[in-house]
Amino acid sequence: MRFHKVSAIVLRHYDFGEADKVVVLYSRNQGKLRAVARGARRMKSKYGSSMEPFSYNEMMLYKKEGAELYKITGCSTVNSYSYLRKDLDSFITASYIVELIDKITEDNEPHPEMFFMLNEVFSQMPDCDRDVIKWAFVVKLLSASGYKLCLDKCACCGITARRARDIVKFSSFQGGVICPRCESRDLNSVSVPWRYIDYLEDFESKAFTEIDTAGISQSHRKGLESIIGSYLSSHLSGELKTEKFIKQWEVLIS
Amino acid sequence: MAGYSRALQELISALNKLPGIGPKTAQRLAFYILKSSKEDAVGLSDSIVRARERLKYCSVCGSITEKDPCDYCQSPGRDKSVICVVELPQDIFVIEKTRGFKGVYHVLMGALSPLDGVGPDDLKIKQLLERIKKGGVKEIIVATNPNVEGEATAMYLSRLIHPLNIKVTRLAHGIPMGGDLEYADEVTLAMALEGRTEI
Repeated sequence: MRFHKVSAIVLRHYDFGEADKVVVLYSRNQGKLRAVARGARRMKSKYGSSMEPFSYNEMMLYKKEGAELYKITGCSTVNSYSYLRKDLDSFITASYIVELIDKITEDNEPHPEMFFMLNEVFSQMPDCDRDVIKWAFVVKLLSASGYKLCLDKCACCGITARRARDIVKFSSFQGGVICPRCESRDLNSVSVPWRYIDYLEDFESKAFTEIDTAGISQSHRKGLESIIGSYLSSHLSGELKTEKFIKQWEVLIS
Repeated sequence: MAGYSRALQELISALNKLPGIGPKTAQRLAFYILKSSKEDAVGLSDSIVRARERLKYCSVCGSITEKDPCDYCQSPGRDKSVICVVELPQDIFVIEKTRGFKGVYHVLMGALSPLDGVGPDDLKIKQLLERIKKGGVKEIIVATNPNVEGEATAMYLSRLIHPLNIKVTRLAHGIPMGGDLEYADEVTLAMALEGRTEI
């Protein structure tokens, strides 16, 4: 079929030709797609703001046989998530999330769960702690992509993790907690409080709004940022561009 | 490009480097140049070289100019207390066409874009702050594009400049003149409602 009706969220766009845009979409049933929005850069474009990142649209797409890109023939906005563009911190977090989805997924590989997760995270962002929502999204996304953290047993030997001590070794390389006998299998593993593992379990299993953020102290935040960041970078090739932005941003607001 | 002479191949690949020009269009342009008179072709090449040699960025505002500082920065008729911040030098020409602005400009050379890795350090924001700190500035008009990146840049500048007790304003958002309300998208319409004015 040449015409496709899709529900999709705009991840990003780039300029194409005189006044067009190529829009990278994440659709519910077809995964990541690239489509041309003719004339989208013109002030009087019929697409208006619907081609801006984070917009959730119902779209009609057309694809010629053999063509690389879809062509957008119709679009109606379901939710523009405009508040993500009105607050700088939300905008930065949302940018991080869409870049991560863009980087971790391949074109035309459907994964409806990721689409729902993306919608959920954008819907809940105004009511949630932005650091926590970001970490929870990363943990959920990695889990949905096949990189589930191993938190209840040793990631190397599979022995059930015992809470005999206050701290536990966490290995980004092995993908979870490791027991004392397997410590030598990753010399870069780090000692973390068991509390961090509880947080990670919550991030993975609970809905964004149900995660208890009250007890997460500043030092816990730094620790969680570090282990989640290191686990993520062990599965990504290269740094996210948004991370570079966040670093510059943090220097400026500190 | 098998079969093309070396000179033609070079011309096509040079044209192909221009933004928005694909290999087919580059080929079409190359053949058009070859078909045109020698004077026209030399005139085109001369004007490219002349523009490249004579034009530079103004050291104060970043606009494109033949003399430094530019006419906008030097003109006594312009109000130096109002600075209009734009993304690119070509945006100045569009605002000038309105004949409604008599202040001066500042070109950022882009907009904040986390997704493209463009952060505050990559733009001429420090230079803007230096101009403000020299004194005499009463208002900053943020005229970045009405898209995600432009809005983020505007929010960022506002957060940075507000503590200096300087008025920061943003170009109004709304329905374009000559447009139909029926075809306006919800975000534009919501912004137009928010920014409505008494008549």
